[in-house]
Amino acid sequence: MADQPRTELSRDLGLFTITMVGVGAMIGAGIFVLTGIAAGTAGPGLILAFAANGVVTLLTALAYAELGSAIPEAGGGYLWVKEGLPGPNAFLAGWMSWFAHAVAGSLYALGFGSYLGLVFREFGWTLLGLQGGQLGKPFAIVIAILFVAINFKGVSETGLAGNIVTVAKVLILLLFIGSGLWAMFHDPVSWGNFKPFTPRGLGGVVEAMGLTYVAFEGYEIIAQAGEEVKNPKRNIPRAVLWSLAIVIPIYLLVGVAAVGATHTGSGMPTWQWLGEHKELGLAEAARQFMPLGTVLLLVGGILSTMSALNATTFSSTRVSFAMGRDRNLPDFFSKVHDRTRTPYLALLASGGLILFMAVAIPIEDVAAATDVMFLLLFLQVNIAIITIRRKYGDKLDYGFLIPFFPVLPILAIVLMLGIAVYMVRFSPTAWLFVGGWIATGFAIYYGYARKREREKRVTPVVLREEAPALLGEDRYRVLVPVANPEHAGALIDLASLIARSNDGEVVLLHVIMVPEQTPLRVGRRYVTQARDEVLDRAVEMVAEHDVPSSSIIRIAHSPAQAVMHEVEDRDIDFVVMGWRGRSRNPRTAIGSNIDLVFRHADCHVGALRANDLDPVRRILVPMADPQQSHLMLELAEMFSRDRGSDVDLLHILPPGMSEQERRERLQELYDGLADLDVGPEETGEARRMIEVAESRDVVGAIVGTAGDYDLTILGSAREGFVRKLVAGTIPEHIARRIRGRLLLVKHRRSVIQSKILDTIDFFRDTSGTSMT
Amino acid sequence: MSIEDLREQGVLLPEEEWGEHRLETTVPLVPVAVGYVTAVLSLVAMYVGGGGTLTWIGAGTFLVALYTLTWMCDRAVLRQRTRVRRESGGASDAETGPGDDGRSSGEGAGEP
Repeated sequence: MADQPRTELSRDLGLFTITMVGVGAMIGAGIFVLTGIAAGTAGPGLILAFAANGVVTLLTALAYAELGSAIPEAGGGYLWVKEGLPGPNAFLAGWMSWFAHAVAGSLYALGFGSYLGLVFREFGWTLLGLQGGQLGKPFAIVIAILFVAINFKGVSETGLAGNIVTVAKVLILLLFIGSGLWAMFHDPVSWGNFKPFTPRGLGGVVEAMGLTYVAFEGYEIIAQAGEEVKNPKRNIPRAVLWSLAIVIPIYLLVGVAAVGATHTGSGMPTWQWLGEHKELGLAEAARQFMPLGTVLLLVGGILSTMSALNATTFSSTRVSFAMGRDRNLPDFFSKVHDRTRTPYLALLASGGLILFMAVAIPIEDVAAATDVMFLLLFLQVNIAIITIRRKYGDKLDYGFLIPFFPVLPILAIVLMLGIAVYMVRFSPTAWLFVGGWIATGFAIYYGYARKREREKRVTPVVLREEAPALLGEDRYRVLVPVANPEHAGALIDLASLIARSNDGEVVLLHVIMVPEQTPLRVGRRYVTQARDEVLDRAVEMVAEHDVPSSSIIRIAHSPAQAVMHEVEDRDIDFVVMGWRGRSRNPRTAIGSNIDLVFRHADCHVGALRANDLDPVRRILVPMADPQQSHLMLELAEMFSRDRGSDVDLLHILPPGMSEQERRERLQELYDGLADLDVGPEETGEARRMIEVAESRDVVGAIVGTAGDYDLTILGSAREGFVRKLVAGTIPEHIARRIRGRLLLVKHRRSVIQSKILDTIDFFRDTSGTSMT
Repeated sequence: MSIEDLREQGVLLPEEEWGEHRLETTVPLVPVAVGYVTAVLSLVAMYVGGGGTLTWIGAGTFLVALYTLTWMCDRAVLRQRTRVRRESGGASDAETGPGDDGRSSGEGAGEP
């Protein structure tokens, strides 16, 4: 990224224009298509659903106001989630955004089909023997294909046409509201339409909230247009807030007019009548009290659904295109047509998704799926705002800061999650599709995208030399980062011992370090020198141990990053790192690089503090729990077999235990050792050599005993997170105080443990950064 | 994306200003809390009203609360810009970010 020229957009949009962009995006097809369906769900309580959605939306809008002003980049929500959340979240944000926009496109295509079908019904037209009511889905398919073709030609909605459509639909809705209120005030009976207010209880209101949420999400576009806004620090937050302040009352009044001014002419309640007309509810209501009501509502509905379909086809295509370009999806998603310069394959995929959803499920389920997906997307943004604020603190220039932080984002998360989950009641089908899409996303991320993400990492491999016999072989690999071969004798000795014991190879890694501010390409000029002066000598040293080796050079800003990338790319089994002594950094336990590798690398890790490993006659293995001592015992046994070292196990007991208690504890240790899968020889030896000492000062006792040994092997303890955070671990304290040779080891973590710890570390790191 | 990317995109403050800016919101907390509570209570009133008078009082109160909240947050945006300029040593908006419109540094300072 540092090597690429940056393209900036022209900042043309002032406060009024960008507010209108947000209003135009919100007052779209959603209110035209969903009012009838939502009225059927909530009853007259539809207006309560709109107001409550306003409160929930306002919470997320505050997050958009803060982040949009602090990071006013074109990516908007996707970019913030990518920055603020760990692991697959960025991929999922893009993946869900693609689905959300595509399914919104399906919703608008179906809405358009219904509106055009109503036109046919009004005029009594038929098409291929089909009447208006039967033409909804065929029209939806045709319009979706048409907009795929239009987007392929590269013709997007122009600014002027967009503004005209926005003004037209706002005017039509204002006329609808005015006519409705006029009719209501001239017919006092109308107010009786609001009783009972919530015929389906609060549950119906919550369902209507979920169902109409998509009609409130348009302010997202204000943040997405951030790079084109004048004075974004000030105008983005204000536009987000004011666009909602304009839209929420309009929705509320549309609901009042639709329910209040409509007369069913039968005993059927108005809300039920609207619900039965589904997406055409608003148009049918307008027929009763608005001059040219049906015609105007049809025009408004058709214009809105067309412009919304165009926008969602465009945005879903761009999302999948961006994911292809970021290597999260196959490369063909990022292919651009030679003539039209449009991402035609991404467009085809998005068009296929729009068509499939439009054809496969009813419009209510399509609407519910869209809403649930947007709720989950915005939920991620609310988590991201918390982590970004903690991660960057006052390094960012905020145009607005959320009050009561982080209470309001947390409240937004809880409310949106509640609404999304509640939507299961309304449409299990929608959740089936949403769940299936998210599960597929996880599968694609872990099976495909993550690997490709690694390939574009910022620690490029610039040299890889392997013995021909080892090429492609899946064998035990011990990685040794080598900076200076003259100081790496002990590391290579240990790595060779481990590799030989496992019939494996030693992988020698040299990292060419480049300062943060310098492009990585600068490191390439040192490759030959690094190979000649470092790796060739290291390869000779490994050969002296009669162990095969391969060598790699990576360029990186951080050695730990290079080590971890190599661990992942080559399925390394064991990393052996050198440790010079106590860290001077108070925020690191052992040393910043070793700490990172210990914490994140998914393999066994050993940090060796020794100039040489000759001789190693006596080895001490302090042991708290046999289950955590497996790797220490394995290593001790390797020394024992290879060098004839004596291994002593040491267990410290608190003073004052009775003989019976001591015997029981010892028996537990023996049993634990017997359960270990390190072979009968080792456990037998261990059983004979285990020593027990009594002391209140565990650290002092071990440090005192270690003085009599040539090497102490310590395990990285699995102590509680809180204790680790507050006080560090016992092995860390011991490691700092022992003077002689020391090998600190950490066992490979399980996949689940690894994910949980990585997530905890991520949030701990973000909080730590904010403190600096 | 890293801190380097953010720096390159020009969204980070200059390093010499790190630690100089407060992260407290400029939104007046008590009035906003009152506004939020009023908005929520108005929703309750709409529900309890059951489509009667209280429902319409609730709806009206909700709209008033919504505009009050929006207005308070809008003023807070202006105060935030003023505060950032003051904490940056009085640099104008034009110096602190791209595409600014040259609003004078004192504007908004006296607003509630």
